[in-house]
Amino acid sequence: MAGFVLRRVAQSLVVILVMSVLVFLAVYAIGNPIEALIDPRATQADIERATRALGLDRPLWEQYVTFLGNIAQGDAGVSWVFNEPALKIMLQRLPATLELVTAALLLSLAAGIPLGLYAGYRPESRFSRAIMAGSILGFSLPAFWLGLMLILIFGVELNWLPVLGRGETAELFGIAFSFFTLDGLAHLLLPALTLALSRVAMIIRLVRAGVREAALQDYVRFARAKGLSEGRILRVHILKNALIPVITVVGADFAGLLAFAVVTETVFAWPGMGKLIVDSLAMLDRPMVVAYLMTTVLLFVVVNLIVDLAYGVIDPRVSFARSERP
Amino acid sequence: MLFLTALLAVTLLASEARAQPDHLRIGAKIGPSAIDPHYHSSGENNTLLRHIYDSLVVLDNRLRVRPSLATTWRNVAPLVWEFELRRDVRFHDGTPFSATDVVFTFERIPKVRNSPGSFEIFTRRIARIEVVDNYRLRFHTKRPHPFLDHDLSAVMIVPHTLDAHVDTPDFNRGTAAIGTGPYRYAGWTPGRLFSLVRNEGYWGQRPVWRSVNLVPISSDPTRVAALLNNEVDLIDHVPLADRGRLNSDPEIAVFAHEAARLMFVHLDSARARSPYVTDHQGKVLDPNPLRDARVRRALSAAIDRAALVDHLLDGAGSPAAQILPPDFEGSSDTLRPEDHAPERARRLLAEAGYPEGFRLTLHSPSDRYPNDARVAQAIAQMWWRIGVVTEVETLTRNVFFPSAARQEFSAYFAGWAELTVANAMAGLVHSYDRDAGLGSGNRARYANSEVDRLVEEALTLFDPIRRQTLLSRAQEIAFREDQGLIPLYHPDYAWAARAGHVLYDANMEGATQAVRARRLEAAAR
Repeated sequence: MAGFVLRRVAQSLVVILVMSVLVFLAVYAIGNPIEALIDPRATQADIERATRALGLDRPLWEQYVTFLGNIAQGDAGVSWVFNEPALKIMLQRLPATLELVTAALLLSLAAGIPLGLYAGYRPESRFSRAIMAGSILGFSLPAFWLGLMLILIFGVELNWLPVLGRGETAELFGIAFSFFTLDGLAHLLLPALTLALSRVAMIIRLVRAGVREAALQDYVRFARAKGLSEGRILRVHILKNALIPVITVVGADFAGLLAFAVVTETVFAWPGMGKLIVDSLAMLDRPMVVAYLMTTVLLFVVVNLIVDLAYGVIDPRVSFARSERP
Repeated sequence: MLFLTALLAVTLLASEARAQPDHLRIGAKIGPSAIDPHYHSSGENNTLLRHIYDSLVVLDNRLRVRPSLATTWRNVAPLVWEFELRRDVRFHDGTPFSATDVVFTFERIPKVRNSPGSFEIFTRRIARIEVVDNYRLRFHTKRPHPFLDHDLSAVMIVPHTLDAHVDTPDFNRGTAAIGTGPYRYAGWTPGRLFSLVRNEGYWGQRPVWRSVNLVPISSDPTRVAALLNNEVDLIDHVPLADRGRLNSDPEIAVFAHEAARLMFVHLDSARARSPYVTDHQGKVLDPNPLRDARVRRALSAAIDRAALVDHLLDGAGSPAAQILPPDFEGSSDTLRPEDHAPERARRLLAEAGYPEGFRLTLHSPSDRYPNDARVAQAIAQMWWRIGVVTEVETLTRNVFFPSAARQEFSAYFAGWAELTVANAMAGLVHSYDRDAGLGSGNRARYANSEVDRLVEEALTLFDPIRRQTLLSRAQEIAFREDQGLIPLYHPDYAWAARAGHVLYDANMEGATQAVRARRLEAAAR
């Protein structure tokens, strides 16, 4: 088990290393950040001075080696836009994004599981067909458009919900969360809904497929022959088995939610990592971009690790031991 | 079902955060990138941080220099300016303001760490500062510099009691964010919230708002929705697409003002062969037709400026003929926006030896100015009509500007914001001179020695009448006779606010500031 975790951590270090090279090359290829940042009235001498101040006058490989040295000490560099440690700014934004992604995940499960269960259990009914048709919409609507529509309907027209930012937060362990205030929840609802809708469709389909498959299994027929109630068969025998793939996919899909959060956060001015990375890319703020990618990769690795471990607990056939050669 | 229950539960509470009479909520497209007033010179930082800090002098709405922390100033010798300071000013922490603070500020500027856009562009001409007494200073410049007062309007003053090694994070946290301005720092989270409270001891007119919250909202539709949903009282950069709708909404008032910004087309008039100027078969033309002033004038005459403003900007701008609209120092009275004259354009092309026209690519940023890509498309269509087959290539700003600076284009569409004609002529029109720091924005490398001479002389003249003559003449040569640059239009800056709550002082600097927002009486709402 410890070996398994260690292998995973080693793998993720390699991923981070590769990512950092790519980011370095990409930002270098896009353009000169000084051009994006400096006052257009600046002279060539001013530009050169700023270039030296940010260390951009040195060859790329030298910049990269310095960066690696710093990163080994947990320092991703100082943001060129904010003049503060990039990782610190990124970590300030992390709770807002995690909160949004978690809320969206819960919403999509809360809606997706019952709907998928029904659609799988009564596949021929009209309601099931409506669910399946609706889920195609969920797949195909772009998140930014959906967000804007929700803003127009619930914010501008009906005037029911706030559309701007994060609202009031309460602190827990020194971190601000919106979960604990009603104003915070009101602000969370529309962005979380936007993010959830793209995922609901997938969960519906997964659950439906699992239910249809399980419903034909021998043990279900046997349970029915034993005279168990339909409710119990559904809950215990069908749903439990249908949920195993959902857990795996939801974990793997976490990264997808983070990626979609970039769009959702921009539309709702949600002060999370996604909005920050969009602003940072516009300014070619390389330390910030690197810090974002490192945080994301780390999150991804941790979540996948948890999923793998959970999977092992659910399914006893999965073993963490490296298969030894005979 | 769960959605609906949750929805209902929270919607009932959403109507909480409503307008309060003496609290102002601003939704700004871009917030400050730091609270350090000397870290990064950008349009937003330089206007938003004025809530907290004052400068020695300020620009009024006609871009004239007016007193602020300095009451009077004069040029006592070609290299010496004397400033008399106000005696009744205190910083937010109670420290009285005096000459020492000005010296501390100017000494700090070159020392700011990691600056991507230093304020030295405003201070580099100063050789030294002499303190005559507590409230009198002399700035010695390296060379005669008639625009020193203009430059000083951009430099925000901090108290000398700050640590000599005070760093940007100290300002961002608020511990060093101490100025003499109308509002005091009350908190800043980058990208989320900049909050301010009234400075009760402000030396100037008492600020009307007790507190101000500024939220950066980069997405255009969201900014508008936040205003309509009454989550903010004032927004800046009203998107063109929403102007009409907001204008017709009785609850919203729109405030617009012509910007101190010129939108223009730059043509490569320097190189013998230019990469995107070809014959109809695609072969690069030699010589480059854009070197002929008649061709440049033809391309200018082919543009229907009124149509650009009316149809692509929905009227949010005005046709341009020079750097700033008429009536500014250096503006020419005889330069008028050129009429749309396709016939004359074709004649000029024929005279220059291109009766069949040629092929050209117009480059444009796609995300920098309102409707930039669409305007470029329209210009291309207008050029097609005189036989110049024009393709448009749009690029994101971070790719566009560095490429333009490397002369990778033959023709490009862009804008230039500047508060004096003299500086704009020096930066945008004067020939490129790296060592003298002139022509840094002249990415098309237009060069005319007569224009250079006029501009250089104007930059050293203290007599405003002589300066006026030289600058207006330089503009006439560059924009009419030579057509080194094709002026198109001055766009508008627009703000929108809750009608009956806020009256906004729209301005040509594009400044979004609480002091420019007048509060309307609650009774009138």
